Amino acid sequence: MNRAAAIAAFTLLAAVAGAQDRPGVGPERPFQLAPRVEKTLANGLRVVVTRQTAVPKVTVTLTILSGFSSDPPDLTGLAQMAADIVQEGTRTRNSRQIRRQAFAMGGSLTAGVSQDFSSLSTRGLSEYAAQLIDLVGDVAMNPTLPEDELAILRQQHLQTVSRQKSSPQFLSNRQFRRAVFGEHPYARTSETEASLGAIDRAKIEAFHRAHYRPNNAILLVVGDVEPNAIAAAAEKTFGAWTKGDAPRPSFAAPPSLVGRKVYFVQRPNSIQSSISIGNLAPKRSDPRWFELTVANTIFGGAFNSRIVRNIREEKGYTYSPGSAMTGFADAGFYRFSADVRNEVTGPTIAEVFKEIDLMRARGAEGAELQGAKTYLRGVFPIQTSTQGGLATLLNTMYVFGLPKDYPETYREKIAAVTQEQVKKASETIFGSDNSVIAIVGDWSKVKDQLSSLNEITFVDVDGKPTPAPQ
Amino acid sequence: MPQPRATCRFAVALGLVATFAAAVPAADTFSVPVVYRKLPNGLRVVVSENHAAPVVVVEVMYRIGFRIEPRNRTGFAHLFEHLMFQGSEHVGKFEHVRIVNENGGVLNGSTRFDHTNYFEVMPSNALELAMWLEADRMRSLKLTPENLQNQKDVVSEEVRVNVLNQPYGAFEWLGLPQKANTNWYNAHNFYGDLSDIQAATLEDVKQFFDTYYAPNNAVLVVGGDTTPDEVMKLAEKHFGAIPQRQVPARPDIKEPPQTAEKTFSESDKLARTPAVAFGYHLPERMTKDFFALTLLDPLLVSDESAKMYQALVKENQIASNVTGGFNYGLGNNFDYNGPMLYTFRVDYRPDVKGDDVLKVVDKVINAVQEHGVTDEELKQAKVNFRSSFLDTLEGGFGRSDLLAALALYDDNPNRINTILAELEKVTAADVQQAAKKYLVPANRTSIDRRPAGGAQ
Repeated sequence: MNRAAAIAAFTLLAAVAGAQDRPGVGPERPFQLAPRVEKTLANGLRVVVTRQTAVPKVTVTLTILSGFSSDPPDLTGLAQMAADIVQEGTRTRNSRQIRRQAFAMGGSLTAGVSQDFSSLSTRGLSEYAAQLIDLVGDVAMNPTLPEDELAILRQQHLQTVSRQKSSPQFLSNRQFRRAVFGEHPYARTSETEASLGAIDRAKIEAFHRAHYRPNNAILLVVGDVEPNAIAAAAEKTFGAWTKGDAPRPSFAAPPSLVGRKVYFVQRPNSIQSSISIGNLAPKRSDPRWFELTVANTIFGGAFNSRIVRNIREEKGYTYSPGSAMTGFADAGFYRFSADVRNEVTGPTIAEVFKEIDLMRARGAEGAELQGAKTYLRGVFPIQTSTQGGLATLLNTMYVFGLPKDYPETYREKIAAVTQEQVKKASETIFGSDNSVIAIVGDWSKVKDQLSSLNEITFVDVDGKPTPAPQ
Repeated sequence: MPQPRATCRFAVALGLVATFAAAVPAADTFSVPVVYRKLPNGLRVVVSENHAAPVVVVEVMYRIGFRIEPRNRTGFAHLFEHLMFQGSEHVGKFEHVRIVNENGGVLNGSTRFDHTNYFEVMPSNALELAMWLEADRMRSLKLTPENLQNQKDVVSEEVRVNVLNQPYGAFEWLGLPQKANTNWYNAHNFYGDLSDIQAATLEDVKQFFDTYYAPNNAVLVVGGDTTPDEVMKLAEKHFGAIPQRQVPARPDIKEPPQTAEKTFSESDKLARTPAVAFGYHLPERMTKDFFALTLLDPLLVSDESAKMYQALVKENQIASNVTGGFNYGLGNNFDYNGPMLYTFRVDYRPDVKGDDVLKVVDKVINAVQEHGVTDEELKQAKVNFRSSFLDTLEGGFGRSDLLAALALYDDNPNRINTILAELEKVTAADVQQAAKKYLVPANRTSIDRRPAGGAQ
């Protein structure tokens, strides 16, 4: 702030006495998650129950340990379609009955599919816990996969695909992931018109038969429930489900990244550039996850991070900058993302690499490092204080095979991260010279700022290479 | 929130930052502990004790929203929200954020029709620190021209990313109120024209702060791992000496009754598929008809079970997605205090027309008007609403925000424990009557939004 500005500044201040010294923070109070009750049925289904009584509700999630990465390459979206259509009819309930029954118990039934898993979830009043488990079990085990419902779903998904192509954030992420993962199945993030056309009932039926098996699944129940009663309900619902050997996905090696690979998706009339920058990262179960998380928090993973302070609070380039590490079963990725006005597209990229290089060269120390660790330790009880938040944590734990004491030791492991580890972690996750840059925007408005970047690959909204736009 | 479908999707709107994130009560006796006091300077204080986790929520909600922001300064209430993070007497620019994060907490602020809120979720050992931070900026605000310009730029980028560079341009929650309403207060662009945002001056900021950011125009809510005694002592200590100020009478925000249907069509350069949004003016909040429609809402548009979805997606197969709710995209049924719309958005097939969608909508609504809902449906709606409401009460920000709104608008945060009983009284005849009165074309405004170059 220069002198003139300091003089022009004003202070609105009522002349009052009051406690104006900044108060300290008291000793940390103990935090303990409720115990988990774990049981494996004879057919291999793992059942995990945690009693969490903040409100008389319950979250029931059946997670199948197969997701996008189990889709054959030309059938991207098969796992998603399977998870959607199982909710559209069973041997004893039609689509409408399934929905009405969930509604009447205070919930909805939803499917969530990720790279390594497919979840069927519902959340309702805890007095209906056994019935909610029965409903989830019925759709998972006894779906009829009706053709007429499939036709409706296919139309819905086709329109979603079309809508996605108009979202710059979606396109930026998709192009980024394709470039980072190449032939690895994690490159596939969404359906296409072609894959939707190729997914038919027979393929869904085969997928369901192969993957929806008790020994390839976990039932998570979190809520105001009695664990023994839930275990009994799970046995009653799922006891007769027959096991099978679900095929595991085959993982091609992701491409080794050399140099800065730049992709530009032309979006006429864009008034901002949607930028992704990043590279491969370790898988979720990597023991270095704690120090990687601390490094990312300092860089761009918290509101009070270097990226936000720089390109938002100092320069005003963007509203929503940030970075995240995402870990899957076989690999992970690190991604910075922001939407910036056209005029500062080049300068934003330069600032991001400046911050990356600084993290790689010097890591972080002192109050900044301590603050990031306190932040992560403090946020953990906040995230797990709701039933849904706790269920999400447990799902991550069981899907990726994290240690059984992961929630109980998380905070001490964060506290133990050292300055040296953060420096090393920075070198691991921030690629700098070897990075993928994906930009979605209007080329004619930003091209002059991008001349210093390496050769740029232009792609259309479907990801197909195109000549440079005019 | 009672409408997770709306709040999850648009949680980013008009906020400071885009993302963040016991006892065993029997089902029928669940209640939220509430202690309510007023300090001599008029500050309302609500405490809701809950020791399930070593976490506290500190929220200050001011009774100034975008509805009554200055006429030549659209978007100003929201810009001002950002400025509250730029420094106060003892806290430097962005230090508020640094202090909260470095002590293990998260924070945000948001601007809504009738209020602006600020909150911290912290480890409970940092309770006093969070209260001190809120008190310091209620008592004083420090702003340089550079910091004002910086936040004008940040907010302009926010409007671009959430509106101007997005397909559909937020037409269902930002555009529709501008078309449906006629009183400027309800009908202006509350995210702001970029030129108005850039025109804001330090003098505007000073005047707005002096006018509205007074303790007697606010409520402090503290929830979580603390006690009423501790909170009241700290509230006295940190907020007690902030002087009361005269707050101007609220302007007339009444909306004259709509007498004929309004339809608009818009062309969208960025969208690839069409969508239609429509909204009905709602009865006054907390009235008999309001409660009746509150229970019809989940039956009409909660999820795949609902009548609109079943008719549009399943039976007629002309739409791919249906969403809707009261205070859509910005809040829930209770956290506003003025004219409000009941809004729907339908994403539909490119080869049909928006009118075809509205015809099916009218059939669904006509059936409710003619035959009502069954007792069984109403019973299920009550269960479903109660379940959603419990999610709001579960803890953290949802509970504190509702308590704040009920204190600010109803002077009765304890109402959090009686809303369900009021809904219990609603009969099927009440629902039918409210649908007949309010869900009529003459009370409706719609915007049909189609891709500029045709669907692709």
